[in-house]
Amino acid sequence: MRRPGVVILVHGVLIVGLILVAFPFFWMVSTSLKTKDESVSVPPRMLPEECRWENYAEAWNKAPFARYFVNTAAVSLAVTTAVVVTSLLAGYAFAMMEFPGKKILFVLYLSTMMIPFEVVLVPNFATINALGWQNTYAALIVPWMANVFSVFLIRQTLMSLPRDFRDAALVDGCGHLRYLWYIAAPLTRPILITAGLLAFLGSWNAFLWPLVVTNTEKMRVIQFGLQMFLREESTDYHLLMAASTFTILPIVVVYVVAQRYFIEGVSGSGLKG
Amino acid sequence: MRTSLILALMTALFVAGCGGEGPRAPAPSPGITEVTFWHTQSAENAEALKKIISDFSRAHPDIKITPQYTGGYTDLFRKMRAAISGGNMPDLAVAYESMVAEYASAGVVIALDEYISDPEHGLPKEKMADIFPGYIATNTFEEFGGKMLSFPFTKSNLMMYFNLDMIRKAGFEDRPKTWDEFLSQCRAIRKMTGRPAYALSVDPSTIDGMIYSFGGELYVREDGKRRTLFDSEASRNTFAVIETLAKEKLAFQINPGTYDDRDALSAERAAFMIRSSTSRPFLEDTIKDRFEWGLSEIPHAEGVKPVTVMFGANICVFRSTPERQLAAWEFIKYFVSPKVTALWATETGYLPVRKTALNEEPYKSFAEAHPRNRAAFDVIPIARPEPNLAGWQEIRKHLDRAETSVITGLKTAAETVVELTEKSNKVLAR
Repeated sequence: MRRPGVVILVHGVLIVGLILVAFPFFWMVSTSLKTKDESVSVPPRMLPEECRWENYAEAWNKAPFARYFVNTAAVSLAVTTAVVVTSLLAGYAFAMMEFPGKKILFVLYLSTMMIPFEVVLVPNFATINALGWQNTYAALIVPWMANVFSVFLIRQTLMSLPRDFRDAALVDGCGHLRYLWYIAAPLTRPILITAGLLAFLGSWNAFLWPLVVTNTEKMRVIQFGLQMFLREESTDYHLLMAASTFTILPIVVVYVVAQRYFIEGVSGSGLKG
Repeated sequence: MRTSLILALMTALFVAGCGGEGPRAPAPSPGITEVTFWHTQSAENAEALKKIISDFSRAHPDIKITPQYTGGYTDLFRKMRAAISGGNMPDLAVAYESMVAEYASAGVVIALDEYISDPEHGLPKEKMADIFPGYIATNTFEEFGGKMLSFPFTKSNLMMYFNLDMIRKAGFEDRPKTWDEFLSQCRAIRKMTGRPAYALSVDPSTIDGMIYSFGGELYVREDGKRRTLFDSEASRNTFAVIETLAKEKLAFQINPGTYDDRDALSAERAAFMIRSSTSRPFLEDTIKDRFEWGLSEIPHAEGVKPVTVMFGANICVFRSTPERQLAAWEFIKYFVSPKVTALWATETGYLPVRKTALNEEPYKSFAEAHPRNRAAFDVIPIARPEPNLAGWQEIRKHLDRAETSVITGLKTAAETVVELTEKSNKVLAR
């Protein structure tokens, strides 16, 4: 039985935290239902006088959002899958296998994290152009199929697995890939999902790279749709917030689903006493 | 079950990676010249642009203009830098003067002078004379052989917005014409309302305009060297006005990057703001007829001719084939024709580039409908561009800091002027 003072304190802190996290979402949804005048009124209004659901239809029709959604979903899913697969394979090689130059290679690989994206933008673009990939899914996906940070993350986790697991598996005639697939991957699922989630988020929110490698409306992604509401001198905040709401909806869904796996992964990691 | 999920995802990856929209543009039909045009217009303005382009296509069936929205100006510039090195340049793009200068240094932009003077495709002298001289001047690049490298596209002016009802209640007949009048109106309004009268947005362009309006210049070229004139009397007077506004609490600084000054003006919490003429449609929307307001050029010093700052982007043509370059020029020529510039200005709130646009519908009716509608047009002849020197972008940052330190009372005007001159001259000396 805990003391009531502690319970109140803990709940108080949690409630403040909840408000801090939830308020921007509340504000987004509330603004998305206001009229244009209400959205910029001073002092700001917490809630609209009446909910204007038609803002959503208006925002949706301001840009080809259906197309943007399909493109973004295809690119994000492909990038996420690819990042998880390549990071798992590379992470395993760096963690478990012995080969000449492994350390140097790993350090070199890690050091690429220090190079800002702006620096590689132009050479990457030149490569995409030389391959004739302008305005293709390939241009949006292939450069993002491997991710240094995810490799690092997964390598560290794989190294923390007891070596006995692998030795036992190898003695029983299990190859590297089979060990990776049946034993290592299930045990590192929380990290794989974290890596996937990061890749998905990055891909869903990408703007600069898609801007550079695509020109046609048909190949553009969701962040372009949001740009449509930002004008030099005036922004339609109510419509921008409506568009933001349906843009982040898939991320919220992915997050909720991933969180379930996350907890399952942590509680069933197979590492017992 | 898990295996099948992974397999499904792998398949999705394969399909997505290999499929995709037809990578290359369809082969152009014979006899049609394709022109791609990178721009920054979104929402209603983009619709207006599309309409102008489709009208152009009807008049020129042999030219196909493809407008491509490329985000804001910074985004467009990044994309362009990638294209300059990596290929796939557009034929036309909107650009500020500093961007045009960069493109010219990279040798990718073409001079328009030959096209202008071409007997068949050019713009005759009388038509060129119809374009405001300031717009020609700002697109003529001294550093690149005095050539015209771009054409005016989306122009606007720095304007003073005022609440005329408040000014009258404070005992004045009309808006302030000089800086002295401006200060005394601010004092009277402060006395009446107990609040600062001017919602001040820290902005290097406003400082540039104020220095012009005190009869000053921003830089000088001596023996091939450039040096700023921030230690001039005009500049000292400018910062003295800012200092007075701060000391007597006649102005309040709005949050940088916001349009809180527009909100303040609209909510009658301020009587003045200084902003681009593109803010007008927004204020029309929010103020409606709640009180009488207007816009004019910024105040000036006694005995100095009224002046304001010219804003806005231009359009330039990139090196390609003679056919595509000519087609791109044809579009520019069409865009700056009196009818089209009149339509564009009415639809977007930018300014027409030709004097005779005032005789063309729909701009004619628009300008006649309310004095506010033509206020910005009337000050075009006195609008001056800001320097388009290499390094000026960095000097703007110093100007920003200088104004901020005076308006917040961190430094005196005198100290600031000395420091600003020193720092800016270092930039130009590089």
